[in-house]
Amino acid sequence: MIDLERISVSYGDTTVMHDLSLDVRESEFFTLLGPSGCGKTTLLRTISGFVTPSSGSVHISGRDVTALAPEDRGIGVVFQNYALFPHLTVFENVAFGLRVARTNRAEIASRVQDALDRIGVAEHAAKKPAELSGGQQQRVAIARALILGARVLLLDEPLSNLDAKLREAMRDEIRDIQQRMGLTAVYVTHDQHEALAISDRVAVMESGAVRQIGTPRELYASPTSAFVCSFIGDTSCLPPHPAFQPNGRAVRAFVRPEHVHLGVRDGDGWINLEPTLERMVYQGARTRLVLRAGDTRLTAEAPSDQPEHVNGDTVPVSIRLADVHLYPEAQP
Amino acid sequence: MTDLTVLARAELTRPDLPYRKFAFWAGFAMLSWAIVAFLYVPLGTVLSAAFYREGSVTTETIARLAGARNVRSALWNTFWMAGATVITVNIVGLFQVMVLEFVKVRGAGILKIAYATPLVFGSVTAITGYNFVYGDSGAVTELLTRFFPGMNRDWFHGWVAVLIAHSFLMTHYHFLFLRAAIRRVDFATVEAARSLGASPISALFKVVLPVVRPTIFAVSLLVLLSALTSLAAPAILGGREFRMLNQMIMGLNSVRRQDMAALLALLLGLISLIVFLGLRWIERRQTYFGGAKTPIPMQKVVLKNRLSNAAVHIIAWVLFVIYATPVVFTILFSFAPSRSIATDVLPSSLTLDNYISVLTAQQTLEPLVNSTVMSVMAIAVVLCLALFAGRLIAKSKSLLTGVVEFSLFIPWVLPSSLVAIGLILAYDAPSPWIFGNVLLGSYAIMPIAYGILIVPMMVRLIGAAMVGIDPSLEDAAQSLGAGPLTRFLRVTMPLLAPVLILVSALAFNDLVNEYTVSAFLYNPNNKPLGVAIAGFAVSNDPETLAKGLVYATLVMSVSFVIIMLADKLGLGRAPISVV
Repeated sequence: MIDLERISVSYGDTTVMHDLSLDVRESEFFTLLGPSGCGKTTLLRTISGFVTPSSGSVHISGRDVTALAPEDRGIGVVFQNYALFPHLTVFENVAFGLRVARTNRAEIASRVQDALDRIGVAEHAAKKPAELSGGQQQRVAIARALILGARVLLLDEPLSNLDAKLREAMRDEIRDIQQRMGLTAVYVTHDQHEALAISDRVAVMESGAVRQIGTPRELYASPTSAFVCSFIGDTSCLPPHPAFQPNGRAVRAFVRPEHVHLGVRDGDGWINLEPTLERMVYQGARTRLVLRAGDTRLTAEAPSDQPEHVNGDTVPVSIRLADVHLYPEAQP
Repeated sequence: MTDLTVLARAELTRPDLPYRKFAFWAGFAMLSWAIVAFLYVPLGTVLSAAFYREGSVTTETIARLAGARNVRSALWNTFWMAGATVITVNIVGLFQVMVLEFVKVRGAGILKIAYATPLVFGSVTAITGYNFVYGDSGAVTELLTRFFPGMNRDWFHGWVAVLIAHSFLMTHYHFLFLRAAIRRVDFATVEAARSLGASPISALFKVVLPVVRPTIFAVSLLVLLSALTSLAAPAILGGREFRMLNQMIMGLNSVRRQDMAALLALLLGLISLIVFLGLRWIERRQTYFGGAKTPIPMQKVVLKNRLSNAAVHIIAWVLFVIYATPVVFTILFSFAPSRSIATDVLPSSLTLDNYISVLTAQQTLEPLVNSTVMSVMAIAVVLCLALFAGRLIAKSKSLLTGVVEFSLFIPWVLPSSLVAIGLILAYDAPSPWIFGNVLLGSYAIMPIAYGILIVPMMVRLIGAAMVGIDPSLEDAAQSLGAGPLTRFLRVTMPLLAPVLILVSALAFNDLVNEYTVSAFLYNPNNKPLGVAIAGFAVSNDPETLAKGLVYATLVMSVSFVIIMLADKLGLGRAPISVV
């Protein structure tokens, strides 16, 4: 559906993206995830046409759009701050694209009304954007982006200016609209929880390059690099241990908190550690134990009905070797 | 939408690309020509007139000027008057700001209106009003002689009159900028000072004023600039014995000693430039604000000390009388029958006769029409230039746009008399820069000069407004299929509209009140309001005086409407920077 081929982007002398290729499938919810400055927004703007790559090509639905202006690409864009036109009413905001395309009056009225109905803001049609709540603004922004019948929707951190509670609801709503209409969505965020919750597939980006692409499950269960492993989900770094350093080569070892089990387990495929307890963090059903083993800090997660420990206690833990993620020292 | 319609639309937008390019370069060429022809060529001509004679550099002009006794005295007058004005304006202005923002005074709302009058009652209008009220046949003088029969009726004259007029008419910078600055001071610092034993007044002097010291310096420099380039006050009130630099420049120009006029104008320009650089320096150092995470808004304190409370009230209301009197009498007597003017303390009756005679006679109507038409012409052209230049400056940062931006700000630093002398010297004969035309004596010279005066203000405010528009709004419009022209007309323009209206209105206000450039450049075909008012002001004929009062009242009303509009649209509330 969206094919990015060997995209490079430079501003002046600085290259911010080099030889990046990516393929977004039809009707897929695809997320670009990464820390700020990793190039995810640049990549999104390359798809929408606001950034022109210095080399490489962008194909949408098999058509080469690399040289096309944004207005000619037929893509819906939801901006970070929604970019609703403050001087126009909700109705006129949504109607904007149709007016530009010189659609006739009757059709505009019916299509906009229809869009507003579907998205649940019909009663606010005559209001100005400033009179709407954050959630309503987002709905209007989506309605406006889709009014021209775009099959591709690009969203640039649309939830970042909503408060925490509304965030989750609007996240689900975006997912819902995308599924219902069968849209291809490319979504930019720096929030890994958001990315895991909403996406079919996620591309984890760092320093202008894609580190790994996969389903949320794949990324969490088998990260291919130390960066992805520590960026997605919680991880602890393990102290050096002969079990995962067979030929003495330096490696970095990571483990998820839920894979650190309390108690000693013997047998093949398990390693045992005897860290001391630094503190316990009660979280309701589960409790986190922050442990110290030598120079490294280790987090374990256990049901809260486990016996209480006192800070300073030695708490034996066991980890299945298969749950340890190993990466060569040199790899980023 | 199908891919086909996307494709079709893409094809449809293609053909106008060359047209867009052409429009851009045509606009850029116009802008460049305007900058060179009306800024750099006049400036260059002034420089060469001052320092070149028959192909070689000469300092002869400097020597001649230094040798002229009247020039030396005008220079001396200008400098000491500017210095004295800064001191007196600060005394009056700081007191006003204290009364309006810091101390609880009864009737502060009414006081504020009176203290705000210099905003609408300024320049030549106000000088006329002062002359009318305090002059030898003025109502106040009339009233005073009833109490002190032996007093000199012609007391409002010479440097005293100029200094008085300056002191009370140049407080508008304090009113605008210093009040805004004081409102941003954290009131908690005042409470802290008081908890440490400081009285409210000493908290004002020890905490509040030091915090806003950069603003006080800045407004002082603005006052200094205004006083240095003052023309209407010494011309109307100064008389023979007190003349200032701008008058000297005008006099030398009228006796065709343009080399000397050019040199004096350059001197004034150099001083202005130094003051301006000082302002910039202060602005960059202005870092006192923003210390507190949760600043408490400024509140007014009650003076518990009865003596100081009474003193503040008395001075505040005396100031009220000083500010209100010229305005009230000017308006009142514009409705008076002419036999009542210059004889009565109060009009014997009220009539619309003066207005009818001004607005029906061709000769008296003309200055009104001239000023309006020329101002509108200048504003319309500069508005287009400013929109184009603003977009250029906002969208691209290159050496070329940097030069354009810098050039358009030059007139900000130039004294009006230098602008005027430049246009006179550069275009008093056919010039290839303006396609073989002559500007001196033409109608066009005034609107062009007006345009030069308002360019910096308009470019600056419109440019700032353009930068303030969220760029993703245009991106959003573009992603919905809007081309550059559509984006500009449907998104940028509507968002800019309030600013454009406001900026145009402010420019109009400046131009109908304009005196200096007008006095240098007008000719019988385009005599503007300012010059007409000044002409009537010095008349002894009540009929003529009445016409001046009508003009002054009309100009004041226009200014009032514009200032109210500006306030409504939020200029008063927005943090205003001084430079």
